[in-house]
Amino acid sequence: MAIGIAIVGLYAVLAGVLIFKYEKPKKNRGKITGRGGDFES
Amino acid sequence: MTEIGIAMDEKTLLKLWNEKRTQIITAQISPALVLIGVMTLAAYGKFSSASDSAKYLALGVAAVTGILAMISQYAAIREAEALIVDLTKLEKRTALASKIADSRGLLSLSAIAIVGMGLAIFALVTWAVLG
Repeated sequence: MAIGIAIVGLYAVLAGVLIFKYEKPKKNRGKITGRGGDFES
Repeated sequence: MTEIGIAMDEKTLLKLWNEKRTQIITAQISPALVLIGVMTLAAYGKFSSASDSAKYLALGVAAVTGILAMISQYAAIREAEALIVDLTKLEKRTALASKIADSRGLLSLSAIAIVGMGLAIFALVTWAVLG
């Protein structure tokens, strides 16, 4: 039973983190290509 | 027409609205199929005699499918909320557009309900699988 509660808790935390990441995305991310291919905003 | 970067008329916004609605519906298909399998096995008591690895596999598949569906539905709803903001800025609207523009409260409630019900269903799945 305890393992079940832990799994559900982990699932809830993961869902919360993903929703938070969607709502508050990190600004000024580094370049992806490293070759100047990314567009500057 | 709204003038935020690009101009979008009512027809474009309604087309986007329908796309968002379709995305929400299609995102529910795969978790529903997984839940059918889990429900059937649980109803026949197959998990009580299953190995631990099989139980955790079932939980893992249900968790991954559920969380991906939940996030894509949540994102579609939040984008639909932004679409409603654009719809309300239109000067002249049809009755359909006005009806959609008035449904923001229901949409916000849906976002909360999808997350809440998703967590509740996963808790029930965990209970059914682990016993």
